[in-house]
Amino acid sequence: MLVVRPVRTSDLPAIERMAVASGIGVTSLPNDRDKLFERIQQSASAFEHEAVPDTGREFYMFVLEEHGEVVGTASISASAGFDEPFYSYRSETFVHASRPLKVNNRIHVLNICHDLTGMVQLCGFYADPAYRGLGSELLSRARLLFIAGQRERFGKRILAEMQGIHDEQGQSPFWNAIGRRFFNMDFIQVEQAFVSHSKTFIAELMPAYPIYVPLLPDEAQNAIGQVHPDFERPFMLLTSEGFEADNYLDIFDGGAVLTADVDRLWTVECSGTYPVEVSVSLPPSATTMLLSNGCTDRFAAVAARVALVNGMALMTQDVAQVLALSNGQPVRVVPLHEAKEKQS
Amino acid sequence: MMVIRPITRDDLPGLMKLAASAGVGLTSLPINEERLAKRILRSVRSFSGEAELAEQGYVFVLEDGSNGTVAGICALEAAVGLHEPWYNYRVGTIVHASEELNVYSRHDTLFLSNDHTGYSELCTLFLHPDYRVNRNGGLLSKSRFLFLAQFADLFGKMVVAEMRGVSDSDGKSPFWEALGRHFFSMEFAEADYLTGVGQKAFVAELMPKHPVYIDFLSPEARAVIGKTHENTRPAVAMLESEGFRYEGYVDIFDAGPTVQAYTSEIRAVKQSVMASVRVVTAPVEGERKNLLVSNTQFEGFRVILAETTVVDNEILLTPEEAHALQVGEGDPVRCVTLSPKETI
Repeated sequence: MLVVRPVRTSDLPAIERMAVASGIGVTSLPNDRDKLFERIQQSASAFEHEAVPDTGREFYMFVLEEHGEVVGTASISASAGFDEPFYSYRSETFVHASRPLKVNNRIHVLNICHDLTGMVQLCGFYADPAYRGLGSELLSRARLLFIAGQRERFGKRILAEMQGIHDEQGQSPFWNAIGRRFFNMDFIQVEQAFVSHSKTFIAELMPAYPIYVPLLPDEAQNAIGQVHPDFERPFMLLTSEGFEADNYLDIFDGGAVLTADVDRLWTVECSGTYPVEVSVSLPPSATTMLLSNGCTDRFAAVAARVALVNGMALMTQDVAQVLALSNGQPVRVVPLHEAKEKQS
Repeated sequence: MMVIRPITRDDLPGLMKLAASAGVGLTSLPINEERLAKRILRSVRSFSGEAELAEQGYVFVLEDGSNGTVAGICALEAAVGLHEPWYNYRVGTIVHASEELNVYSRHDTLFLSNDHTGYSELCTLFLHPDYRVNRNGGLLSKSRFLFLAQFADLFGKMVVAEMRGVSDSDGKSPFWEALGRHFFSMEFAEADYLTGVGQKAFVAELMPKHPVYIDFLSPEARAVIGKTHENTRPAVAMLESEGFRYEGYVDIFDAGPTVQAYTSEIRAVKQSVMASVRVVTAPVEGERKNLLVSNTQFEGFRVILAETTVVDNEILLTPEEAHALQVGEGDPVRCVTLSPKETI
C-alpha cells in the first residue's frame, strides 16, 4: 500500500539518494547531507509543534513509502521566505501609447517583486520514476489533505515553483539572457550557490529594474513561464487542483510560479470527513480514493479503496491500521483527479 | 564680406533655398515654408522681447554681403524643456557585487532623464556647400559664443549640443533597431523626422521609462552609444576644443552624444574681450590674427571674422568691416581669436 507520512531521521539515506536523483532545479532538495538533516529536524519540530495562528518558519516534509521503502518526498513551507523576502518576477504589461502619433503598443515587462512572500509554499517534490502515476498524485495531494485538516496552521494563499526550461548540460536560456550577465556563473553553479547561501541572498544580486521582454533573445522569451518536461506531472497535478500559472515567474530560470487560494483548492474544497467503519468486504460502489487521518506528527495518507455508505467511510482493516484509525474516528476522504475529469 | 546677423522675415526665400541644398538629411531645416516661417517668427519675437523664456530661440544667418545670399544658419535655444519635457538617456553605472560569492560586475545602464531642462542649446547649424571655405564654418558656429558672452543673462548656466549618432547609409541606426523599434512600430527615419518637426516629446513618451541595462542590447547597438556620426566628427572636435565635454548623456533615439559646457567656461566666451573700434584705411601692420568680432547690440547683433590685431584695447578695423558690424570709431566691440590655440 502507498502511504505518505512525515519524514523521520532514519529516512536520511533515502532522502539523500533522492536529492541526487532529482538533479538540478529542485533546490528545496539540496544535494547536501547536513542541509537535508537540518531539514528533517526542522520538519520533525514543525509536526510536533502545536498549531499557532501566525505561521512562520515551519517546514513540513513528507515521504511516500511502499512496502517500507521510501520512494518519494514532498514538502510544505508554511511561509515562503519566512524571515526574508521571497523574490519573483511579476509579468506586467506597460502600454506605450500616443494619441497624436496614433501609436498603441503593449510592452511585456518583468518586474522583480516580493508579492509572494509569506504565502504557503509547496516544494521539494520528487517521486521515483516508477511512481509517477498514483504515487505522485498521493504524494502531492497528501500535502493538501494535511493542510485541509490543519487549516489553522496555514495562510490564505499558496504557491508552487515549477522548474523552468534547461537542457541536459544545465544551460537555461532565461538564465543566460538575464542572470548570467550579472553573475557570470552557469545555471548549475547558481543552483549550487543556493545550497551554500540562501536563494534570497542570490536574488539580491539580480537586476532590480524591470526587464523589458522585447529586448531579450527569442530563446529567453520563449522560456518565460514554461515548465521543464520533468515537471509536467507535478504541473498537471497542481493545475487540476486549481493552481494557476498567471503572473509570476522564477527569477532564475523563468519557470512558472503557480498560485492559488488555499480554500479554493479542489482537495481542500471537495474533501470531507466521515466516521470510519472497518469492514471485511467492501460493496461494489467502493473506489480508490485518497484518505488521511487528522493527526499531525502521526499524519498518514493513503490511496485505497473506500465506500461512502450512509455517511460512513467503509474501509478494510489494513487501511484503517495504516491510518491509525478505528471505528467511529473521522477520516478525510477525497476522490482522485480522474473522478473529477469523468464528472466534467 | 561675410556677416552674421539675426534672421528676419525677409530671409524666408533665402532660407528655403538653403534648406533645399541641405536635402532631407537635416531634420532641423525642413524644406517646408510654413515651418521655416514659424521658426523665423519665433526668433524675431525673441529678439523683440515678446517671447517668454520657454519660447526664446535665437536664429542667425550668415549673409554674403556681396550679393545678399543666405549662406548658412545657426541657432541658440535659451532654455530647453520648458514647454515639453527634454529627454536624454544618461549612461550610468550599476555594480552588482558580492564578496562572499566572488561576484563583481559593472553594468552600464540607460536612465531616462530630464536633467538638461533649462539648459541652453546650440542647434540648427548648416552652411551651404559652396561656402565651406575661408573659415566660414568657424565664423558661423562660434559667432554664437560671442552672443552668449554678450547676453549671458538670457541663457542657462550650461550649454548643450546634441551630436548626430551613428547610422548607416540607408539611415538605419543600430541603437534604434535594438531599442526604439521594440517600443513602437516606426522606422528610425520617421522618428527622426518627427523629432525634427518638434514632436520629439511625443516620441519620447513611447520610449521605456525604466532604466535599460545595456547588457540587453545587441553588440552593434552597444558599440554606438555615445558615438558620433562620421560626418559630425569635425563638429564634435570643434566643440571639444572650445571646452565642451561628453558627460554620459546620449540621444534617446540614436544614442549620439550630447556634449555640454558651463556657459561661462566656454573658451570663446571666457577669453572674449571688449575693445573700442579704430577705423584704419591703411593695411594693418604687425602680427595679425583671425578674430571673431561682434558689436554689442541685441536686435542689431553682427559678427564678422577679421584678420587684424588689438593694441591697447583698440581693435583695428577697415571701413568695410566697421560698416558690416554697423559700428563707428570708438564704439565698443567684443572679440576673441577664432582658434583656441591663439590668444589676442
